[in-house]
Amino acid sequence: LILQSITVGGWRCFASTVRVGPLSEGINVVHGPNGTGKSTLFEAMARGLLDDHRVSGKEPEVLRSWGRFLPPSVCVEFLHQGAAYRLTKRFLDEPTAKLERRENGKFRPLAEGEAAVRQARSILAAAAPGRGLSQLRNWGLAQVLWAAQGSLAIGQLSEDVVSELQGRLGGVEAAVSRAAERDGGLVERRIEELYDAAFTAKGKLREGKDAPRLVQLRRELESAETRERETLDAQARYEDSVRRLQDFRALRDQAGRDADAGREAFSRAQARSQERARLLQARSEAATRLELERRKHDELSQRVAELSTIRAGLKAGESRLAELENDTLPAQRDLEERTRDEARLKAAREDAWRERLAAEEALRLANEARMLGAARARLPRVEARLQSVADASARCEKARDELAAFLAPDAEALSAVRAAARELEDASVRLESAMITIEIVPEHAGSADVIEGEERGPRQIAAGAPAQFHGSPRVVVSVAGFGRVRAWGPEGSAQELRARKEAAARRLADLTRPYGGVGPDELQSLHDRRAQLLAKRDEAEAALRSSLAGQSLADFESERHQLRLEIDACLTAHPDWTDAPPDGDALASSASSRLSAAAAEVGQLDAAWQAAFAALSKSHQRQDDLAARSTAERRDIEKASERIAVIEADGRSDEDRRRELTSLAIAAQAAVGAFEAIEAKLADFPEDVDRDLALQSTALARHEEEIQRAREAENKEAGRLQALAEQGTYSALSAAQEEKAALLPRLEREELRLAAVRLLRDTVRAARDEARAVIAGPVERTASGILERVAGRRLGRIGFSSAFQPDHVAPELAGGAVELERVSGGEREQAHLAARIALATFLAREERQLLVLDDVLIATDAARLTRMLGVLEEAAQRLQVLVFTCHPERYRALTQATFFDLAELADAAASS
Amino acid sequence: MKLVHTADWQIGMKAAHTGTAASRVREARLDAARNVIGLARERGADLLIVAGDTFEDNGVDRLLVQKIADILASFPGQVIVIPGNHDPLVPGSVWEHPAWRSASARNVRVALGEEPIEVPGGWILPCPAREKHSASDPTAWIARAAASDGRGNAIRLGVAHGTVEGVRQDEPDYPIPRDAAQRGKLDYLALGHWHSTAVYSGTDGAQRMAYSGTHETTKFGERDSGNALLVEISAPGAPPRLTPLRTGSLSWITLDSVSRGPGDVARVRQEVEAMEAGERVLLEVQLEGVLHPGDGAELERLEEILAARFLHGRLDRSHLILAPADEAWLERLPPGPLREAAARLRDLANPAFHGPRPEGATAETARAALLELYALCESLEEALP
Repeated sequence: LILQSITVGGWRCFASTVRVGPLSEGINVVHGPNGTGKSTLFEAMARGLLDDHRVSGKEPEVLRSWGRFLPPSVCVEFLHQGAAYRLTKRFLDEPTAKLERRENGKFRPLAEGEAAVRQARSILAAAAPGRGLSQLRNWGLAQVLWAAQGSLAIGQLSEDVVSELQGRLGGVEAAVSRAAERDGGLVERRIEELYDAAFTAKGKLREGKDAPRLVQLRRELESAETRERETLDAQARYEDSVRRLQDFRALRDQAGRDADAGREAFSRAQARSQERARLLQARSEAATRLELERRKHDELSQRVAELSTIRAGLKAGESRLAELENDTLPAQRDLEERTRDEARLKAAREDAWRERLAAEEALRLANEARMLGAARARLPRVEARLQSVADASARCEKARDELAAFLAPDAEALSAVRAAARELEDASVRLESAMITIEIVPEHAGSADVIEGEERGPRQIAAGAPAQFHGSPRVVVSVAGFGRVRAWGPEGSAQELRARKEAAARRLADLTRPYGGVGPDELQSLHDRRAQLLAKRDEAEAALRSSLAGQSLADFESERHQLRLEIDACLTAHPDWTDAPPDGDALASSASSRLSAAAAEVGQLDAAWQAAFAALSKSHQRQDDLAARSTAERRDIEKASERIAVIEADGRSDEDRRRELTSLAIAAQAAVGAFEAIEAKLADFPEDVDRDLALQSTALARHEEEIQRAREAENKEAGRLQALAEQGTYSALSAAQEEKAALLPRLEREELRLAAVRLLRDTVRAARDEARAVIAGPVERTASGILERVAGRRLGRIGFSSAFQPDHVAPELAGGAVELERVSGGEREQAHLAARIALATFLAREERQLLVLDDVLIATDAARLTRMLGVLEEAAQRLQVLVFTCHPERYRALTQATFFDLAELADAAASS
Repeated sequence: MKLVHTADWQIGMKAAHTGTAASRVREARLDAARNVIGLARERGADLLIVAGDTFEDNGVDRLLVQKIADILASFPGQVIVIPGNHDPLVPGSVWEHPAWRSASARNVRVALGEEPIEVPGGWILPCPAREKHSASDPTAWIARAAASDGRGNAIRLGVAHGTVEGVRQDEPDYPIPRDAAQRGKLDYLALGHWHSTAVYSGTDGAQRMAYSGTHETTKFGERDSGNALLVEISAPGAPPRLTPLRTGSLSWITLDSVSRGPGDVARVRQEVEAMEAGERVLLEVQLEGVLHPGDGAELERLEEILAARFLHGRLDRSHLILAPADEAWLERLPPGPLREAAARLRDLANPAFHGPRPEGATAETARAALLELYALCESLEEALP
């Protein structure tokens, strides 16, 4: 099909009738900004060629021009198999369809109405939609040839188109295949119908009213299995209940036996407990009696023994008192003698002490006299030393003042001055040697003017005397009568040396400025004089240190003050010593002798007195002890006598008491016998008879409780069992299992049948897909070649599905297939366009075909776009290409293309 | 003394193996029980003994318990029933149902203990089962009591449920000695547990011990079942006279057939069509051999006949294999995907095929798929060249 023109009116944005054409048989670019109707034009062409003009409902209403009530109409002129056609359709209001063919230069009607629609569809092998507007799947070969906006990728092609493509592309092999498909198509369709009746497109079993019998059978089986589980559970509960009830009965029987045994044990324990209680009571009473008899015996026995003991003690006490009274008189006489000795020695001792104190006073006076003499001798020496120190200190201060008043450089400053002078001299010499020197020896005296040089200005020169002119970097001298002399040399060094010289001069001036700017030799003289003053000062300071001898002036002054105070204090106490001071040493010698004698006397008398005093104290103590012991003895005798009187107050004799004591001992012995007999009986009973009784009682109660619990549990379980038994659990289980068993064979048969249908269909499809894949090979090669021209070899071969959908590329680097969704957007659209061009090229082998591209290659870079345009130009040799774009500049490289400005066409239509 | 010995009624039995006929098979067991009573009356028996497993399980529907009690009570003489291993004497068992204590069933005595029961002309020595499994001899008490009891001058009848020694079993199951009747000084020992009728002769040649067998056959292949025994004992010590009574009404038939060539399935179908059909016949056809694609329709037809004409009919085709040599119809398919697919299915239908199999493509599925394709081609024959 070759499109020649499209005329559209009353269609969406085209209120007026717009005609695009005549179109070339090569490349046509219809362009215009957004909203000018490019896609609308594409839609009008597609609907004009493919849709039934009688389509109705809300869906086609959107075709109507906005805000108008005009019927949408389209007229398409095209060539097909060498004939020119014109197809005119009007939609919605009084719909019409008319197909005309050019015959003898004029279009003549060929078909109208439904026939016209059918004829047009057959050109593109398109199928009629079920109802409403046609969808992409109804477009026939246009599914491949026409790419709507945003739909460059080839989607799921309808089965009829796949078959058509297979037929058109297959050649000889496909011819056989077509024949086979024609023959086997009925069977295959029947297989597909069988499959579709049971399965969805995704291979799942259908649900709802179209569900196959298997679904219902599975539901029934599921219900049966649910019932089976429930009844199995009920049966298991029934059987468990039977077992539990048996267990409970066994438990109750056992509990009954245990209770009987417990009752017997309890009775035995109760009897033993009662007998033991009786014996314990008897033992208690016997013990009371025994205690009473023993107490009586012990009390009497104690009194008899006490009486005997007191009587013996009384007798011994009277004897000791008599001995004490005999010792009292000698002790009195000894005390009196000791008292006299002690008084005598005490008086002698006091006299000796008084002599010693007098000797000590004489010695103190002698020491004072000796101290006065020493102080008087020391004081003049201290004063002389103080005068010597004062003189040395004055000399030292004077030397220091002289040194401070003399300004002279020290050795370091002097060294710096000399270094600066050397630097200045060195820089001067170097500067001079770096200067350009012109020496002129004039024949006649005259003058020279130094225009450039060290010393500028006029200067007289003498005949025959060499006159030198220095400068740098140039020296220019104008000699009168001779001319100007210019000399120059290398630049740079003289300036640096001059700067160095100036810096050295500045430094020397800075260093000598404090000393009056004198030269280094004068500064050396100043330095020498300062050294002399320093030596003089050091000498004075050494003399001062010698006078002080390690002490300070304050030390000497303090000592002098202390000596004066001592002398004044001594003379104040002894005014008579002012004029006649005693001989301290003589006095001290006499007083020392006297003190030694007195101290010896005191020591002897102290020892004698202490011995006498100790003897006196001992005598006093013996006297007191005798008195105290006598008093105590008398008191004990008195107490014993009183106690004997109390005991004997009962009026009985010692014999009476002995007889009663014997009688009480016999009674106590009898009580012991009775007690021991009861103890012997109790020994037969264990200590824990009562505990055993309590345990038996507790055990019995526990058995009774156990019986009660078992009975309750049994009754409860019996009730539960009866309820379960009444349900007839086994019968219910049987019914459920029978139902399941009856369903299973039917289910298995149905499952097998559907599995067979699925396997049959899948096997046939697989065989068919493989056959189709063989046919799709050339298309893959062509598309891959196009893609390689545009994008290079990196994406490798384009792979097609069995339904002619490009779905992957095979880059060498990936080592396998890569789905198209995973490559970049630009390369993906290039691959899809390559696939469309390849398919279209194959479809155009017999007749030129129309390839429509609405707003494609929007993600392709400029370089690849250029290459793709080249591919399009080549393809245009067999294809008519219709491009819709809002970027006409991108297609300007197409030299053979025809461009249509849709906006201009629309404006022209509106104005006309 | 004239009595009817029956056992193993298995009332409420699960009959899942009979498919949708299960409830009717179960109902037939009640009919057979009525037959037992009818024959016992007809033969003038004055005693009826049910030797265990009256019920399939203690959990059967209580309505069935009442029905059986009513059936037994309809016998004019005394009825002695012992619990068997399927309906042992346990709490919640069928024997606790009030039907056994009702006035209408006064002639029915369920033996709840190992104690002699006096009947006209003799004594019954029952051995009730108290659990589902036991390794103990249930008749041992009779032998122990025989030495001391004073019933030597009356007819002594034992009733027990178990397995007579000699039957191969993995574990002892209520084992009963071969000479149990002699040990217990019994004139006759009525046994239950095994479903086929079996009579045991003593050393003196007298038949004093027998399984009556179940009164109605329970499954395919169950030998000599569907009977009761009429037992006549003229005097204590006299040899009993045993007469089998046919009580069952169901026919369980198994038809084994081999398909060796085209048309064999049709032959089997004709054979089945020729059989006497009815609501009391259960038929199982075991078909083996090779299956030709053209036999598919015959198989379907055979299944229809089995389902329509018999109480229960089943066709076992699992042992059929697709005829490997019959590929002529494949050549008639148009060249291309259809013929290629048929060839692949043919390969997959061979169980010995070792090539890769698509998911779910078992030999059985492939065979069914191939048959499906064959049927489609046959039905659309006009579309083929």
